[in-house]
Amino acid sequence: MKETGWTGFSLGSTLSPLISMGQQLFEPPDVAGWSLGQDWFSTGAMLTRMNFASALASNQKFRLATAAAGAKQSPQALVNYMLSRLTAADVSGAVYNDLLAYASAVTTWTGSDAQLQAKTPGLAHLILGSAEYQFL
Amino acid sequence: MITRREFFKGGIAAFTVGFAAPEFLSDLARAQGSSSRNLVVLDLTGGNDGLSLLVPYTDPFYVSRRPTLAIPAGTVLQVGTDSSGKALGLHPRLTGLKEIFNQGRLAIIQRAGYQNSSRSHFSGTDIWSTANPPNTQGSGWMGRYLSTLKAPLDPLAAWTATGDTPHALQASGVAVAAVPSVAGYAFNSPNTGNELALERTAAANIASHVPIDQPHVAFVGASVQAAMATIDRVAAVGKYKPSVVYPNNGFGLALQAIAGAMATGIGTKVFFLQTGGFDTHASQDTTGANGAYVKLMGTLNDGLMAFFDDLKNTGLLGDTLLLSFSEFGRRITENGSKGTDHGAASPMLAIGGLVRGGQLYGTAASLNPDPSNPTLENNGADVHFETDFRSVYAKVIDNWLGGDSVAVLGGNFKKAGLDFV
Repeated sequence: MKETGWTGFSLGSTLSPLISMGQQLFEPPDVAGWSLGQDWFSTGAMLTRMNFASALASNQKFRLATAAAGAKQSPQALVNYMLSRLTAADVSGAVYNDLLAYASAVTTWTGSDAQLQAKTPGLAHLILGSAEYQFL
Repeated sequence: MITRREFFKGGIAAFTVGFAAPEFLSDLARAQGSSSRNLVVLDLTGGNDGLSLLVPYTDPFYVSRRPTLAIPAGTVLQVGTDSSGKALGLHPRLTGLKEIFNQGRLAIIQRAGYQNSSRSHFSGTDIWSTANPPNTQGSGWMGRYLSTLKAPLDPLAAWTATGDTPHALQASGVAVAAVPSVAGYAFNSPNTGNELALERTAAANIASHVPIDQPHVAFVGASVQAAMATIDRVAAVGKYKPSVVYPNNGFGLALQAIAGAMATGIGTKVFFLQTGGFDTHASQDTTGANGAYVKLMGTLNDGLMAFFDDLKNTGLLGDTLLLSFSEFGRRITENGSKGTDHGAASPMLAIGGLVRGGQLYGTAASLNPDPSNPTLENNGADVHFETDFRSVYAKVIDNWLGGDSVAVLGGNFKKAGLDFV
C-alpha cells in the first residue's frame, strides 16, 4: 500500500482480504499463533493476495498513470519505471520479458493516457502478485 | 527477531509442488477421478467432547462425573447397544444424524485414538494429520496418499475449504486447491475485457518460471500456477444449484461447495473442511436451547444432513465417504467452569452411501474412575483408545480409495472387524 499509494482507499477494505490471507489482525487462527511458511501461500491465499493487489492498483490507477507519465515513451521504459517504483526483487530475465510482453501488447504504443491508465495498474498488479514480490 | 522474509520462507523449502500443465488437466481429472469415489475429511477443531456426542447415558458414573453437563437419558437419541451391551444415544440435537444412522449410512467408531494421547491441540492435530505420532513434522497422510497417484497430479485432486493448506494434505509434489470461498477464487484485474485477458496470461506465464535455486519462490510460483490453472473449473462449481437449502454458515456453505465440486465432476479425490468451537473449557451447556455444545451439534447436524440429502438426491452419495475426526476428546469429569478439559480418545463418524452404518464399531468406555479401569487412562481421567485411528485411515485407504495403506501409513494398521466401509 505504501508503494502504490492508498489515497481514497478505505482501510476497511483491507480487513476482508486480510482474513482470507490468514492474516487477521490480532486474531491468530488458534492459540499457537499464525503458521509459518507455506500455509500463507495456498492457491486460495495467493489469489487473495493477487486480488488485493488488483484492488489497490485499480483504486490508484489514475495516480499511478500520472506518476508514470515520465516513462511513457515506450513499454520498456514503463516496465522499468514500475519495477523501480515497486522496489521489486531482482526479477529474472524471463519474468521481465513477460512483463514487457504484457506492456507491449497494444496495436500501437502511443503512451496515451488511456494506455497508461490500463498498463500501469496492470503492471502494478502483476508485480505485486508475483512470487518474488512476496518475499520482499 | 524473525524477519518477514524468514517468517514467510519458514517451512517452504521442505516441500515442492508439481502438477500438470493446464492443457492436460481435463484428461487428468478424468483419469484420476475415474473411480469417481471421493473422500471428505471433516476436522472438528478444538477437541470434541465425544461423551456428549455419543452419550453413555446408562453408565452409572456418567451423571456423577458430569453433574451439570450430563444429558438426561430421556432426551438422547438412542442408537442401540454396542458389542459390550452398553446402550448409547446421540446428542438430542443430532436428529439428522440419527436419521442417517437409521438409514444405515452412518457408522460410529468408538474410542478412536492412540497410545499416550497428547493433550496439546497442536501436537494432537499434527499426530492426526501425519498419522505418525513419533514424527509429527513430516507430510500429511492425505498428501501421502495423493502422492501415490499417477503423476502429474491434477491440482484439483485435493480441495480444502480452509484458507491455508492443512497439514493432513501437505506432501511433496502435491498441489492443493485452497478454496475457502468459491466466489473469491477468481482472478481479478484493474482492467476489463482484452486487457484483463492479457494480464491473466501474463500472470500465468510469470508463475511458470521456476527458479530451482530459490525453492521458496518456486513454491509460491507453483501455487499461483495451480491457482491459475484451476480458476475456471472452480468457477463452474459456483454455478451449482443444490437440491436442498444448506445452512447459511461457513460449515454449510463449505459443504455446499464440496457437493458442487462433486456434481460438476472436476475430478477432486479428497476434500478437507473444518468446523470449530469444540474447545469447550467453560459453559459447555449441553442441553440449553442456546447452549454452546447444543449449537455446535446444531451446526454439525444441519450441515451434514443437508449434505447427505443433497448427495442422495443427485445420485452422488454412493461415491462419497465423509470421515470426521478431532484432535482429542475431552476429560470425563467436568471442571469447575461447567466445561471439560482436554482429554484423549473420542468417536469418529463415517457417512456415505456405501458405509456399513446403523451400527457402533468398538465399545464404549466404562466411566468408573478406578485407576485400574482398562478403558480409561490418566488415572481414570480420560477415555482410553480402543481403535488406533490409523486403523480407520487404513480401512479408508485400502477399501475406499483403492490405495495401499501400508505404504501411505508406513506400517500395517489394518484391524479385523473394522468393516465400516
